[in-house]
Amino acid sequence: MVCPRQWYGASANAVREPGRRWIPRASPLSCAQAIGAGGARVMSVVENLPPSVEKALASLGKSTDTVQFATSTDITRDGNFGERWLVAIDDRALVLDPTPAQASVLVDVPYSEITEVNAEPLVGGGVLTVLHDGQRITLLHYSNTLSGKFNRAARVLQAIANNEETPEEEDEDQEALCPSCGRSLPKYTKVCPHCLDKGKVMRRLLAYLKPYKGKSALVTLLLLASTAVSLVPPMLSRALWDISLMPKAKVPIPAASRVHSLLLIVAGMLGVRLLTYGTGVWRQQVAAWLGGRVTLDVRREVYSALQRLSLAYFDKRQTGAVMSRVTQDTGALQVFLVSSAQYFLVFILQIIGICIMLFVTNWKLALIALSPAPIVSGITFLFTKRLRFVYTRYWSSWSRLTAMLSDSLAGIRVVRAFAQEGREMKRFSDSSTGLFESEYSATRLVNVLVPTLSLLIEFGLYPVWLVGGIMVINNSMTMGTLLMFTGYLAMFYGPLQWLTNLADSLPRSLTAAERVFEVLDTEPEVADVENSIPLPDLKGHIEIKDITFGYDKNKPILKNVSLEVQPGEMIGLVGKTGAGKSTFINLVCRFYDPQAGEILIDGQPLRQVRLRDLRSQIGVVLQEAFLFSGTISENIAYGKPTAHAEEIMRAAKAANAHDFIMRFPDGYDAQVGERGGRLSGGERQRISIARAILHNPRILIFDEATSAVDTETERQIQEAIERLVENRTTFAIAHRLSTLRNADRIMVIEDGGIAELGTHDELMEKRGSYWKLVQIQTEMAASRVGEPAEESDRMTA
Amino acid sequence: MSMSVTNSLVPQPPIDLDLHFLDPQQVTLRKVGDDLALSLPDVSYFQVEARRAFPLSNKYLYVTFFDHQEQEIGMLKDIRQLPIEMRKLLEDELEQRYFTARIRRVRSMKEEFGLFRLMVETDKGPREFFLRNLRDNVVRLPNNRIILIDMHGNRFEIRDVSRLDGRSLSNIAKII
Repeated sequence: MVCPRQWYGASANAVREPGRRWIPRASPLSCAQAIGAGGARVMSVVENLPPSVEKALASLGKSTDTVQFATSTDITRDGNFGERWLVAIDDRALVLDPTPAQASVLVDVPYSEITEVNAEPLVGGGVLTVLHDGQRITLLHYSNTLSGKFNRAARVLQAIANNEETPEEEDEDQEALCPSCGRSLPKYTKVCPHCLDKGKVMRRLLAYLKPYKGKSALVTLLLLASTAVSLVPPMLSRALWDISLMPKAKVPIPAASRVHSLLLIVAGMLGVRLLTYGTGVWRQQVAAWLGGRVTLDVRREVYSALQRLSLAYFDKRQTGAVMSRVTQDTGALQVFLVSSAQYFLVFILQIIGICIMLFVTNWKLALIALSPAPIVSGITFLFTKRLRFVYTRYWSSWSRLTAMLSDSLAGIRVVRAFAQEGREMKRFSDSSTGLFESEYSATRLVNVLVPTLSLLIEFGLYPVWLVGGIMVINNSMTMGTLLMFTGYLAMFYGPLQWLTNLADSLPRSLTAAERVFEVLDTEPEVADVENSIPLPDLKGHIEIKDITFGYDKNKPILKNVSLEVQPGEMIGLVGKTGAGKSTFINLVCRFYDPQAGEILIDGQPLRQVRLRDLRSQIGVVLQEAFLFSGTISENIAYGKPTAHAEEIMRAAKAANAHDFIMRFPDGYDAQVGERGGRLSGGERQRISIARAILHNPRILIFDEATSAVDTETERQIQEAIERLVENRTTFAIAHRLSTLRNADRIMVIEDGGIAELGTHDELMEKRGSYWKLVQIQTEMAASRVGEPAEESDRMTA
Repeated sequence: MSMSVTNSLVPQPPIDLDLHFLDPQQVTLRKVGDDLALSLPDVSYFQVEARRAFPLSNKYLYVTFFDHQEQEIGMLKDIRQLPIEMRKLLEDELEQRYFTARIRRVRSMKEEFGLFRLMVETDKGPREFFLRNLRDNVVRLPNNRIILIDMHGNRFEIRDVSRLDGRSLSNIAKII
């Protein structure tokens, strides 16, 4: 099986050395040794032993070749930071002190004395203990940093001691590190800002322009044209001075001819200005369309990728983080494509053009003129960094203020009830003051920054005036040439500062782009196999064969569960919160694939069945009915958008929803509000049942469908459910056992396995967990209502 | 007294599983005083209320009748199948219940302290009303149809926004 999180770079046979990268490490010797010893295949994890430990082992007459498992901790037995080693070798587990001078064995436990190995969490760390004859022996302590490692260590050591196959370990709870540079990765992403191949990202971005070749070519052309045109005005001003205003000719030129050339030059200036204007506006328009269009394409692609991805992807991320991929990251792309990329090209070309012009005209003066450039860029760079810092602080003050406000306004009743208005005012005043201070410091910096930058630009001009002026006085340069020089310089430093800025902002845009691509590149874990089996008409026979599953592979929630369900049978699932009831259902829906075992549906392996066929024939009613904003009829018809009005009403009638819907002024056209917020919980629930009825599934799933409603509503929902379950294979999870009165069989899940399975009568006779639950609920109902038999009556009705 | 006896064996109370449609030829509708009365061949109901199932998307189809105890009597698929007098009677009744003025022109719209004040001309005469919370109270329907619900719950309909005159359209542009 391919490890879906292989980019972590670590799996069972990899070792993390402190501060270093994960290094895959096969340990053939210890494998061979273990096979030789007990015949079982043992995969061992051995960290690089320090020489002092090797020496200590040697002094015990043990060869390091026979080490099966070795790992180090960071806390000593006396509670100080320090290294200790746990080594499993030959027939015993040893804990060693690696201090070079006095390396010694601190604990020595033979495997034969190990019944159980436990990694027990304490508060600031944990302790690894072994159990023998009910007595606990402490092996070592570790800090919370290493708790993941020692949770695994406990399982590995246990397996070695019992001579079993070591569990395949996965470093789920390890901090995510970049596989190539070892730096820790930002949360919810595997894009390392340090290792990002910027060129590759750029090329991939540019590939999005392909469908719009014509427009892209036009933008490029306009870019080149406007840059070329922008270089013309200083040349014209040279001509203005040297030809018309102050011509340097041996023979004086007649005034009429000078006026004539003046007219031509001014006309040229106007023409160039209009041309710049025209190309500029045109280019902006086309580029805005292009950038927006590409962003639209990317955004659509990201959203459809998200719809395709498995639920496991969403489990590991916060909704907000996923949302920002679609909104902010693609937005950053748009800014990059519309403005950054464009200006980047314009300014680069402009700077190159100006340099060429300056050096061609007078290379000595050009050198003087451009000499401040590195200093200007350097200072700009520093300022920009500082600016970003103060603005980050400003924004975080803002969000703190907003958070504080929404918190205290949402809790306004509590504030009043405890008469804490004064304190809340003080809290607000503090946050507000913080905002003022950070805002003021940001503005203050901007106020200094902007004049400083223009001052810096002028610094480049003074030497040119000085040196160029002398050249003019010496007649080695014309007045016009000097003016052209200063004209070009004025155009030089602005773009230079902008480009310096880009050095800071470009990586951020590209990281955003890469995060977007990451979504596009993620392969769904649950996907159709090639040549998947179409199953358009499910009968609803389900066979679960020995499945094991955990969201985190190291912590299985269901262990070796087997069950056969006949078509049309209703199975009630009972068990404590977290026992694995919902997980069981998630597997039947194939939201996840089990790690071991398989599920057969109508005799076909679930993994092979076409997902669309499977899901379209499963109906789910959850505890919290989720409705989409829209009308009631749209919501009922969600799974079957083509449904006729009568079908919709029939489904609503069967779900006991028709009557209350008809009480709304807008009937079936009533808006449910965002997430169905304008309806009560029971109303939402019945609409979601109507939705399931209309969907007409072969397999039905109720996950605590009636736990959030009052008794009368529950009765109505219960009625609706009864109509729905007929002839459909049904799984119903319920805390209120009365909900399961129609179940054919009841399955009690405990500790990841099926504790009891049978009809209500059989389980009652057995006097086990189910019987106990029924007793408790009957008593509770009795004490609540004062009618001793109420709950049990309903149970057996 | 056992759960293994499934519902197929225990007699269930008859549940009204399906929609109950009325035969337009067998329904008699009349007014008793100001109340609507409905008679079927074997039974009569007084103080009957007629409601549209889809008041916004279809005014003729699926009109249902409730008795004074909020129990549904039955549903008419299409009220146009009724004999003409009864149809007229029912339509008047429904028009009253779903009183909605149709906007012909929007004379002006001003935003005042978060409220939108509209002066309109409707098929039922000129009217001034206030809109609050556009998100909830501007209902967009297919074919450019829009329902505005004012702060008192009155309904105003714009049949087809694109067919409003230019002046009205620009007046109302901000909210649609």
